[in-house]
Parts: sequence; C-alpha cells; structure tokens
Amino acid sequence: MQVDVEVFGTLRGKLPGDDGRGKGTFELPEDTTISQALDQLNIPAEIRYIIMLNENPEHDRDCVLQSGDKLVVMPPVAGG
Amino acid sequence: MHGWAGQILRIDLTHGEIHKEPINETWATDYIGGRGLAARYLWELMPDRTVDPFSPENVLIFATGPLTGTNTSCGSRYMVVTKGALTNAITTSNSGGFWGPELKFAGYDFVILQGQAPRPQYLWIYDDTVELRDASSVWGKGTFESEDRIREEVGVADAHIAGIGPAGENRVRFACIINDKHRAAGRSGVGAVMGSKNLKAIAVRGTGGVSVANPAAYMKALWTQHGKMSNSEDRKGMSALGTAPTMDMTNQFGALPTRNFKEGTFEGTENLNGNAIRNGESWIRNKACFACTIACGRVTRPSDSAGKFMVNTHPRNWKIAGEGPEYENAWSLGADCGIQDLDAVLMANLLCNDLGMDPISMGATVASAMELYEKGVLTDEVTGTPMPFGSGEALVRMTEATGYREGFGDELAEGSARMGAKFEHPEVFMGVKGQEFPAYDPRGFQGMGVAYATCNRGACHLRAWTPALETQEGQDAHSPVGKSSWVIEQQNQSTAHDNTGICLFTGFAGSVLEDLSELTVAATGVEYSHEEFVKAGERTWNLERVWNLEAGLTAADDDLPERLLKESHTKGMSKGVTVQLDQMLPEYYSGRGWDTDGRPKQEKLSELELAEFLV
Repeated sequence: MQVDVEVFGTLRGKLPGDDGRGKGTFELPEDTTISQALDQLNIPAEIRYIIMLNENPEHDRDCVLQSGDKLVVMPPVAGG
Repeated sequence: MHGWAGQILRIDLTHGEIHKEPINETWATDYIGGRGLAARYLWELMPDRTVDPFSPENVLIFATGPLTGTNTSCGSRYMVVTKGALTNAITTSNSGGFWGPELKFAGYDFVILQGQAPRPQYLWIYDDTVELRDASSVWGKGTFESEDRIREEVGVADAHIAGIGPAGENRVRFACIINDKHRAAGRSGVGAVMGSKNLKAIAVRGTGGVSVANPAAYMKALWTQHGKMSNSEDRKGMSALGTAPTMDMTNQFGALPTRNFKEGTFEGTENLNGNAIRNGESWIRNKACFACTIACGRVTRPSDSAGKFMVNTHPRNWKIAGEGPEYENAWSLGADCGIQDLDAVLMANLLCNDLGMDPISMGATVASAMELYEKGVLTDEVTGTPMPFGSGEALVRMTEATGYREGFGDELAEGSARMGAKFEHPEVFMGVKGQEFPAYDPRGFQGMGVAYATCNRGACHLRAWTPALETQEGQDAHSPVGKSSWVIEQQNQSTAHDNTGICLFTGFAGSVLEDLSELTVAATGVEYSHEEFVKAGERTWNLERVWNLEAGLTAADDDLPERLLKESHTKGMSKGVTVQLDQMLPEYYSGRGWDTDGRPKQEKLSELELAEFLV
C-alpha cells in the first residue's frame, strides 16, 4: 500500500531518498503499524513525536495504516 | 549572602543621586529574586499604582536572580519590572545575553531607577564606580551604534550594555530594552518607560564573581542539570533549528494565527520555518547566551535581495548580521501579516532590534492596520503607502516609520488597541490588557485562551504554555475541560523559575524545576523545600495580581476579543472552534482561591503571607 509521509524540523533529510523537503509517498506492506512505519522510514522510535494521521492527532503507535493515509511526524517543539 | 550579591543600586534620576543599599534579605528569602523580589520592591516604592507609566513616579527595576551569573545552564537572565507603557499593568519583561551576569559580577542584584533625568543620560557601572554620564552623543542613535559609542566613551571594550533606541526615546508604546545588540526585554513598552526617564542605557563591567553557599552540593546539582540537558533530544532540536519549528506544529493544529487571527493555518510556512531559516542564504550560525548549553539563538544576515526593502528616509547599513528570527518574530512579521518573504521578516526584525521595539507587538499592530486597510478604513492617503496583507514592503517601511513616529508610524506607535479604537474599529485589536497576542491561536489550543486572559502582564505565552500538554495522548486541544488547573500550575512554576534568573528553556531542554530548586538551595544556602520554592512563585503571582487591582484593573480585563469567542476559522484542524473562556475563567478564579470578581480571598492571601496587601 502507498502512504504519504511528511516530516518536519530535524527529521527533514532522514526519510529514504529525502532531498531535504521531508515529503514522500512510500510503498509499505499491508497492515503496517505506525511504529513499524517509523522504523522503516529511518525515524528513531524513542522520541516522543507529535504524530498526525489524516489531519488528526494520533497517539496509538500500534494503529494500522491504510492505503492512501497521510502520516505527519513532528519532533517536540518549544515556543519562543 | 550567597547566590545574591546582597547589594542593590537605587538611582534618583531627578537629582542625579546614586545610592548603594543592602538587599532586603527577608524579601529576598520570600521571593527568591528576579521577578518576584522586584515586584515586592515595586509595591513598596510605588504607593500610588495608578500613576501614568510615563510619570516620574513610575519605577523601573532591572532585576537579576540568585542564579544569574552562575554556571547553572542558561544562567543569563534579568527581568525588567515596571508599570508597562502599553498595558498600564505591572510588567515583567525578561532578557538573556550577557548583561545580567555582568551586573552580578559588578556586585549588584538590582538597579532601581526612580524619577526622571533632566537631560539624556546613561548609567555607567564598573564594580564600585557608578556614575551618570551625559548621553547627548548617543541620543537619537540606534542601539547598535549606541552600544559601540558607549563602549568607546567608557573605554572598556567588554562592557555590556542594556539600552533603548529611538523608539524608546520617542515613547513608542511597545518600545523595548535591547542588550548585547540583539537580545531584548521585549514586551509591554519597558523601553518607553526608560525613554520617559531620559535614560539611554546602563553600561556595566564587573570583575567579581558569584559565590555559592555550598559548592559541593551546587556542583552535584549542576552535573545533574547539565547531564539531563546534554542527553535531551528536545535540546538537540533547539540547538539545530531554534524555536521556529514550532510554526510547523501550530500550523498542523490550526493554531497558527494568520492575517490578524482570521485563520489558523498559513500557506507560507515553508518559507519561514526552522528549516527555511537554517537552510537559506541568510543563515550564519547558532548562538548561545551566557552559560547556555542550548544555543537556540539564530545569527542571520539579510540576503542581497533584501535591498529591495531599503528604506529611504533613514538609509542605514542593513547588510549586517543579527540575531533572529525566533518563532514569535517569524510569526508576527510573517504569517500574522500574511507575509511569506523571509527577507522582509529579517529586515523588519533587524529594524526592531536597532530601533528598540517588540517585534511581536510591531507585527501584530501592522497586521491590524492591514486589516483596516483591506476593509477600506485606512487608505493610501492616510497610511502613505499601500498596506495590504502580504506586503513585505509595507511591513519594513512601517516598522521604520513607527520607531521614529513618522507619518502613519505615529499611529502604529500607539499599539493596535489604541490605533483600532482611534479609527473606530476596536475589534481589530487581538490581545489582552492592551498587549498583542503572541503566536498561538487559542481556538487551536483552548488552554492558551485562559492563559492569555489571566496573565498579569497582558497577553503572554511564557507564563503558561499549554501546547505540550494539549497534544498529549488522551487530551483534546479543543476542549476547555481541565485547562484552567494546568494554567494555574504552570503560572506558579514558571514564576518560581523566573525568580531564579534562569532561562525558561531549560524546562524545554530536558531539565525539570526540581533541578532549579536544588541549585537555588545550594547556591543561596536557604533550605527551601521544592514546595516552598514553587510557593514563592505563587506568592509572586498573587502580589502581581494585587498590584494590578490597585492599579485599577478588574476582572473585566481578563477577557478575550470577540473574534476568538464568537468567530471561528473556515479551514484547518480548528475549523468551527471558538474559545470557551466562560467555562475556563470561573474555574481559574476558584482554583486560584480568588472570588468571582478575580480578587484573591483573604484566606489565600494569608496562606501566602500577603494578608495586608489587599483590603
């Protein structure tokens, strides 16, 4: 299945084939969870990212992705 | 004393008198330092809190904390405390850089300025030598040139200087105090108060140090703090990209105020976010304040194409390296004005630093004017230049005009509350207590609504910052439930933090407040429990509240604009949401131990040893 992925901040440049824009459409196995997707996309799992799935916050990393999903991953931030 | 220098300077500007006094040790113990202790002094020295901020009776305090100037990570901070020119409320404006530590090295915790100098002067402090000097050589000059000239005049190359530019001299309502050229005590018009006293700058050089009561315990606590921050992924993120990555998060949550809070998402974030600043041609390097192990500061220089914004009335060297932009500047000078040209943001930011103005209020005031322009209320004849949303040219021209109060800049210099009222459209003012909001739309994060409405110094994101909690699992950022109790806790904790003289960002970079209470105990020798340490924060918060009540503010000032309460975004994640302040505010008052008019009850005041302060 194909999933659109967008990453921000210090994650930019880390996705496979990332030219620095932090965006791509990736072919992932069926029934891939968010946690597994992070692993396949070179995103270190131990950081408490803010994750959006289809424009809504998603906290369950065992959530199974569907074809056509949009996954956004942001590192924690602080304002100033 | 340890931690504290134990000595303050009181300057009678009217009569040119300089007094050195021991610090009030009882107050220092009760309030710890910085913001809290300065509020206590302000209470004592201003018995009439209703005076005009520009009156000689207003008192201006530069306040360090007991950890300022130590090697505690981020031990750089001082606080400017006074009655704000923008807000007519107590204001507490914080700055980093190197000035605060230098004051401690010279042997002083505070500088207290009273009265009004008969002609422009600056204060020069070199250890025991303290003198008022004629400022005619620098009056009218920008902060960058003024600092260089003052260093030449005093003959000390490593003096650190905090002062005002033309904006403060011209009493622009949101004029700030700039130190080390690019750091600012930014909000609420503290620079205008300084200008009203005819005080251009305070230059300081100190050759001493800061003693700690228990060096072994201090070093152990320091090692803990440093270790946590060194290993922190959050700290690494701030070192790499500063704070502007926050723009990506707020945009995703529909909390990025756009075009004067009309919407919560902006189409131009890729030109203004942390990656754009870091990877663009304006980037030079990052930068740290004194003792800082984060280095969130950005050093940038406008690109050649920024020459298109070259202002004509006051030609200047604009191809210089400066600090910024942070998230707040990138937002206020960018998305809030509908601008996505980073060059415009950098130019306006440089002008704000050189002329000495708060870029949050500057950008937000321009955004209000842009709304009036697009409504047809303001015309080219009135403004002198087209001012539609998205115009970088308008932003840069108006920023310079505001600093000199020229043309329409004279209207903008009053801030958006007064400007909107004058043009009979008060609804364009997006702020609280006369101060413009910072970069979080409360329709995206409900907790920021009650945080803004209740902040003692007007709309502010630093006293309570709720996005980290509101984006956690199990939380609903659009729900008002439970948000008031978070805000109360955060306000008490951030105030305790401010009292030490340490930058708030240690808390975003792996360290916790218990680290600071341990460091404060080890440095001062006062055996605070952590609860007592936080209580000093709560005590400070309530004293500030009482000060404001005595100044004439009421519960009616704890409010939000109709746009946030009744109108909603048309797109983005927060589409359709309004702020439920009517639910959150009563819970806030009750949680604080205040009555339904927002007045601290006697029971709460007695608990905080403030019983005699409000009758």
